[in-house]
Amino acid sequence: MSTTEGTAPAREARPVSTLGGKYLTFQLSAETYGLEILKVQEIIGLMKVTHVPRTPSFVRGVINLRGKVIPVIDLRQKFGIPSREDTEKTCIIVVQVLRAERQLVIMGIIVDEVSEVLDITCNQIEPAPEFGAAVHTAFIMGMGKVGQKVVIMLDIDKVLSGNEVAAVEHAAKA
Amino acid sequence: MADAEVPVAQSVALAESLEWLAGAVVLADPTDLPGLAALHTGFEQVAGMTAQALTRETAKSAAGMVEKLVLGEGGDPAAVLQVLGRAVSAIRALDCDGRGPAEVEIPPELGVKPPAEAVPGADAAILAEFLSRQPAVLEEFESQALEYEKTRSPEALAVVRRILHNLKGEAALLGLGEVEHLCHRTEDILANGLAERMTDLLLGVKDWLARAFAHRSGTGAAPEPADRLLDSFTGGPAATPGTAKPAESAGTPAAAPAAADLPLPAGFDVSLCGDFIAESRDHLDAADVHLLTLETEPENAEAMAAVFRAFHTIKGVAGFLGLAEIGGLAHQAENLLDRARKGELALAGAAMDAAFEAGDALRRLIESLAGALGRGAMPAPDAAVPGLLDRLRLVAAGGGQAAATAVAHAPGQKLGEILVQSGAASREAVEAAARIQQEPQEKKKLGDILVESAVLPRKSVEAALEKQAGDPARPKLGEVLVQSGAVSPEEVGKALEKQLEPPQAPKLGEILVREGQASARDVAAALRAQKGPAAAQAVQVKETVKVDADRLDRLLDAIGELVIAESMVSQSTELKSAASPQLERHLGQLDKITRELQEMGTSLRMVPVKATFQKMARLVRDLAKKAGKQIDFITGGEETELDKSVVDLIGDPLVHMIRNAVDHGVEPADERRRAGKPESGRIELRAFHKGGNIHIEMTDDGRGLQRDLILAKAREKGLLKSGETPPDHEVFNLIFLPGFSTAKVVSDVSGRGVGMDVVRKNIEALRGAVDIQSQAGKGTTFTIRLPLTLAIIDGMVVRLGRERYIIPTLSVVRAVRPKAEDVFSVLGRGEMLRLQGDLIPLFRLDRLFAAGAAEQDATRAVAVLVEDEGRQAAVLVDELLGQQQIVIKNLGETMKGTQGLSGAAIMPDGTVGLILDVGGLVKLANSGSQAEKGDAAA
Repeated sequence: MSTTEGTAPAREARPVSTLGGKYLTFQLSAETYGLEILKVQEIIGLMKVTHVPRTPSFVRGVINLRGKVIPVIDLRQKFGIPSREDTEKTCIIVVQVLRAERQLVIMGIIVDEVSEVLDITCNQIEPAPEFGAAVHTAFIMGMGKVGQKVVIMLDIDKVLSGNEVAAVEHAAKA
Repeated sequence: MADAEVPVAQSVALAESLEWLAGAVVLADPTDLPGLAALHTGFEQVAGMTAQALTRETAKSAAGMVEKLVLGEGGDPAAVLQVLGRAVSAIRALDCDGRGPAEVEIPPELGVKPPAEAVPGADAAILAEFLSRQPAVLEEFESQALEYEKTRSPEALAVVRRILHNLKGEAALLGLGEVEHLCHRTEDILANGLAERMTDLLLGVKDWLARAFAHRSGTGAAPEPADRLLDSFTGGPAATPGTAKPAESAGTPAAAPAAADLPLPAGFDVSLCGDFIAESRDHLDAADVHLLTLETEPENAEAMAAVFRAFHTIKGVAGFLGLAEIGGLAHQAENLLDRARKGELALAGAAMDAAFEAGDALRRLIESLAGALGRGAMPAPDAAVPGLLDRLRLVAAGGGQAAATAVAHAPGQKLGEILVQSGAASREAVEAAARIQQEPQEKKKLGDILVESAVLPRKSVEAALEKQAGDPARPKLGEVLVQSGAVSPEEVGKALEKQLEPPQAPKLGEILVREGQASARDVAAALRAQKGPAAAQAVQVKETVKVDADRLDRLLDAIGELVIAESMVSQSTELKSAASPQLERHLGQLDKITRELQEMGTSLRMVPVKATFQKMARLVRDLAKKAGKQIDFITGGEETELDKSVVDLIGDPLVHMIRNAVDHGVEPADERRRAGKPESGRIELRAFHKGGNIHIEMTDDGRGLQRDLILAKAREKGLLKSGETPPDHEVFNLIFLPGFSTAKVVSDVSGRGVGMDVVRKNIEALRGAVDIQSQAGKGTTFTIRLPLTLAIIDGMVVRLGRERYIIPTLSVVRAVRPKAEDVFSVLGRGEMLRLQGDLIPLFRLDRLFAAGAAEQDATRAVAVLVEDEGRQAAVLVDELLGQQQIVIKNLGETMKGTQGLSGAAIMPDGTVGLILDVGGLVKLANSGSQAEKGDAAA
């Protein structure tokens, strides 16, 4: 793994050999992504999201998860994929994100559709690609090749922590 | 470990299991799988039954071996079975025969670690438990020390000494040598007469202990050496004569001067002695534990027997080894305990102290023996032992001077003794009073009797006496009185009868009070003490369970969710349309239970303010002393309960207020005298419920806030124009401004103008308010108003476009529908609203929040007038939806700090509503981003 960019949080990228295991895969546009199953708390249907003013556009808002208020991130917005109307299949994956200072935060991410749980072994995994400085790939742990599919394996901690959250806070303080 | 305590029933069961196991192992057939499974279960049961870590490990490891046997691993089955057989005998020796780990050979194949590793873990747990209990103990200690200073109540002193003693015992058990030493020396100082600066000493000790415990818990630095603290009170390192523990023996015994060692006697068996030392330590530890038990349960015969046994064993072995000093001391202690065991002597007060001291001294002797043997010598005799021996003899004999140092007064003890001991009256005074008591009593005068029985006021008797004196015929007083019609002849008759009764000897306490030798309060306290422990035991100890704060929070969260879910169900329209009377009843029941649960849940977090007030009492005392002022501190409503988080946060503001009151509020004694006030000032701190809020009120009777001084300062700082004269409360509120101080001198206590700013900030953070009332020359009252809980607020729900927001009702002044002519645009950017002649900045929430689809025509919207820190602003929203109680939820880490929002709430339909932060909004509007956002939105 030589793709870690300077912009990523201080945590080291994990070697491919440790990445094997079960992954929850989901669709965003035409792409298939995978989340480590241990990071996933639950999958819930889309519900009414309360928009929070003065937050970045990828923050859809907050929802009530059994009495707890959790933020919901629109992953399409986050990845710069053009947004589209929610469908019946749109759902929220509730994930546990380890933020800086080893703080466990519960967040929801909105995805187009949840596919399946895949077992991805180490030898099916290739290191994350490098597209040069223009494309930020630090939050991709690797690429899983399962049958005909290619799964982009997300490091959700990096997707939803550090810089991004700081951006939320920065926007709030500005 | 010889006397591991396993309940009898359990140890019998254990013995039976082991017996079965022993048989099963011998008969086991490595191919008989069900039989091996039973064997496995047997070992696991044993592991579950035993109290000893070592046995548990052995049994577990044996179970593991059986498992391997089943799986066909682990080598030769016959050899494995042999190992298992040895394991069973080892467990039997350890648990049933009470043999120590050193004497038992555990089969090495099992790979069981020696117990040395298990013990520190257990100790750490005990230590942690001990430390977690100490803050409460120290609080009580401080509270009683202050109580004693105030009332000289011997009970308070007794409690102080009890706490010290318990601490000493526990510290010894846990190996906190310095704590033990400090407690011990403090006990000695207390026992040797009550020092002038006793409260200072006790408070110093408390602080030291607090620091020491904090240090042990891993926070804060280690405190100074205990001796330094104590020496500053005793005036030198040498402990007062007669105390059991001279300072030089205080350090670790191994460090005792080697020069004083004596040579080993010929034929002395050092190896035997080593065993004796180890055993004695165990015995003494056990004795301490049982003595502590006896302190609370004097009737506990088992504990009594155990203590006796401990000393008895030490005596026997010491005698055998020729250790005369240890043997003698143990013998004397044993005598004492023997009498106690036979019920000839109550093991309480001085006797108890002596027993504890004997234990401590023995431990010291044994440690110094261990140290000296390490150097190949015998320890020098301990200087304190002869004195202690004498005391033990005296106490065992049941009286004497030693007994007089008792704190816990045995019931039926003489009142005079108690008074002398507690320092309320001198021995001479008591003796003089006793002499007066013995004197034959004069016949009481008729007039006195009449006055005493409240038949007549003293004045009329005096008038009658005058009349009697003036009358040459010298009529009898009774006659004079009857004549003047002041009393009836019957009453005089009754009084005369009374006069003929043999006079009762006056009570000792009465004499002392009459002679001014002791205060009535002291005598009352002594009388209470005389009644004995019955009165003390009347205080019911509430049983409590300690719960992890995290778990409690989770429980409260769950209750919160339940409440929301319940209201969602019971208010659902589908259910309402289908409701039958029965369903409604059930829903009603569910609702009731849910509310009850919610109330209970909230009350779980409620704690009394007592502890906080206690700290303030201490603070007042220290500050007053520093400032050279006399201040009486009075508290009220200490049992008032507040949310724990509020109680934690209220401390700081109170500290600042108290500091101000002591430093600036209450005048020096001479100034007070000139002003015609009592010399000692008065600060009152009270908590009470009022109108759904908790009020905390601090009143001083000092000089009051100096309005002119504040005004002058405000003008100087440009806060006020020179012509302005605002009303009192506005003037007083100026002192809350940061950096505002009228103090001419900045003392190390106050005067920088930071404190009051902190007060207001903290209280506002708790969504409370603070108010000042002050009268020049009379004093000042600060009133803090706090919400009952932090979790629930009253909120006004407003609609803006498709979103709903909640404005805390507390900050809403009013709501109006603006008229077109009342809305002014300023510079094409900001807007103002004219309301009854005032111009108020008006801002549009949709523009601040860049939320579209809101009403743009102000005359069709609603302007909500809000107030924050005295500034008003109008917020334009589409509609008011109503008012409701809101359970505040955290917006979460990621959204924390979003400006203009203070939190979230779950609305009755299950969605999330956002709570507006009015102060933040006003700042947001003023920071100019309104214009930017307005532009962006336009």
